[in-house]
Amino acid sequence: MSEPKVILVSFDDEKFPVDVQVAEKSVLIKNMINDLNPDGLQEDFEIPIPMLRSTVLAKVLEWCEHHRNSEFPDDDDDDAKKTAPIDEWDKNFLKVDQEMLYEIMQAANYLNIRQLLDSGCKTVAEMIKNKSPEELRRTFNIVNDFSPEEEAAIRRENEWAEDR
Amino acid sequence: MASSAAVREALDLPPNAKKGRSPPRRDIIGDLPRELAVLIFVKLDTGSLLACGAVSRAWYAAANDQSLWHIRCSDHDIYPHPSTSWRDVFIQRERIHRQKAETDALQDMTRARQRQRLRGEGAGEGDVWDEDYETSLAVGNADSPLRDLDPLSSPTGLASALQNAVFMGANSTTGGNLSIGGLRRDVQERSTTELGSSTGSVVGYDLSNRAVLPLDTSSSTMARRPSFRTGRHQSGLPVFMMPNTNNKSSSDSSRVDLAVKQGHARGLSTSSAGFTTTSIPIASHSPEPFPKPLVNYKHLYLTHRIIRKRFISGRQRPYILDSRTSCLSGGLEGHREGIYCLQILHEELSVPTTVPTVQGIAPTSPTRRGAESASATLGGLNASLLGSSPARMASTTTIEGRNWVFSGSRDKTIRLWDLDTLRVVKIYQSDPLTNQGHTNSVLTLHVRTVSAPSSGGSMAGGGGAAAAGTMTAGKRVKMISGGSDGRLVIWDVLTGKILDQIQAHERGESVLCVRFDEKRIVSCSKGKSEMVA
Repeated sequence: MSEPKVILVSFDDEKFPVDVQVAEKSVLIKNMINDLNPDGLQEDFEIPIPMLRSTVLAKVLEWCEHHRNSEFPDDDDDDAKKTAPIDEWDKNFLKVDQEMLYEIMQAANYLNIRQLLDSGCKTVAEMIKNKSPEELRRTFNIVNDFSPEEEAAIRRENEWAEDR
Repeated sequence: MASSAAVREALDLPPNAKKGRSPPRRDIIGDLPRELAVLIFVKLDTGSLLACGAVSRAWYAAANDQSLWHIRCSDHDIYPHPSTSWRDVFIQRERIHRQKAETDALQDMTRARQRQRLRGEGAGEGDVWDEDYETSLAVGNADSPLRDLDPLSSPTGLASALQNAVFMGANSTTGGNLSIGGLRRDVQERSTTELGSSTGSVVGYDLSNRAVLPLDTSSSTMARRPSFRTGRHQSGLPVFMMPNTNNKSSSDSSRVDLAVKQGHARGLSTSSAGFTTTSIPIASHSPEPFPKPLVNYKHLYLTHRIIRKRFISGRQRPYILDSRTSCLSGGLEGHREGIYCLQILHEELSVPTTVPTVQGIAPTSPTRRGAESASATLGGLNASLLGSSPARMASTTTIEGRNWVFSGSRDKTIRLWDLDTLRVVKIYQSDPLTNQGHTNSVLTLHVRTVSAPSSGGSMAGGGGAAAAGTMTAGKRVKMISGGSDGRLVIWDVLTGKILDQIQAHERGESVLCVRFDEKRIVSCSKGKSEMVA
């Protein structure tokens, strides 16, 4: 028998068998495997992930598969993490609609996949960068729910902060 | 195969995942958990972040998250003033109590209005509010379930873990309801909106900050009760709004919060507008100060950023210190002639002084050449000191402050300016009785605190016996000035008395620079001689 697999079950009951090494990119799953199987995985192990739609889970697992051997910089090395540009592959990988990006980030957060979450955050940050509030509203399809007074107050506050 | 039920339990999942979610598009920031939004915002530059704050309420709340700004502060090695002491806390508490009487009337009205609103909305919280609470506390209660989630606002949270994080942005965005207002006021100044802001470990901060003051009177525009507006409200930087901590809550209730808080902010700044040195927390007045002061990291960071930017670009906004501002602020008149030397002193002093009680400026006397403006520029400080005479009715008072400027002038006097109120509070001039003091222009001066009384004798050197005799216990602030008469004059800064005078250089040889420490005085003169006493 080949290596036991981890079978992830999505919200819509689709099953995704993956290698342990791939599944363990998620700290949540890794801890769960270790906690529930202290002697190592003997047989296939099914984990329901009802928070995720199958499309999202498939996407996340695609990322895990790609990065199964990737070495990431030390988590404690904040500076390296901050300055590092987005991984080129991740960049293309995350070229998805906002809905998907949102769900990928939620998933990465839930499954505790730091590097994926980090790439997601960077992607969104890139989308936000150097845009005016109006452009941001258009980009992200957001309704301006400020009262005119509030908006004026914030504008003044920002003018102060920009010191112009 | 492992039981899926056990796994389910281990994951702590709800038995049935919610169905039918995902609207066509969602707000990628507003709908994400706050910590994720913060993770995204951390990667933005400040300009983009500020733009984000202007997008919507949810974005504003996320972009004003204190933990976000705390991270930014840490990244730039910006920390709250480390030396805030319990003494400051005490003093601040006294201030709050003093101000309370003034604000009671306002709070009554605010409270009534708030209840009315809440009833109109049928908000449940209205029922549980303790009527004896201050309105602001009631607002705090409304937030409290969320506040507990925020490390910065929780008493046992991050803020308290910072040993030196002792300053307290009054309207600290998340848990601000409990903060006690700026002790050192380094960070809080915008929220207090007082011209009389003091301190600032960087003096340039005060200078620059004040320069911003005239820009607007905005905190009032947020308020909805124009009847509270008074003519006295003249300062007023924009006040950070309390972001809606609960970005999922109905916008209506947050609107109430906002309105009430803004009302408070406004009322308070109104009640204390003008050139006062009081600092009052905005939107947060617990009757007793909260023992763990909170930091408004956003304001801290932005203030540092502005200062740094101005410093790097060399672009300052000067403000004018002159006789006119001094008299308008109830001070003594300024110099009548050119100013040759300046020194800033950042020291907590109580200066006994005689100031005119009647404010205003009498017409400039024609005999004075006051119109001939004498200006000196030092850093961002454009001190153009004009001569003119105030209407004087003198009374003796004690002025407390932390930021002082000494200026020596061609008019043979040295004047002490209180930077907090932009006025002259003391004039050091020659004593006609003893014929001591400068008989000519004051070219240089040096001020410092002398710690031990015993050091006085050796400090003044050969001619210093008199100085040693007059020393009393405790620290004293001394000033030594040099003039074009070749004299060095030693002053007691607080009393204004001349302690000693040394004819250090030949008459007519201008003393160009003088410095001293506990033991020695050094001076140099035009005649190229150098003298050590």
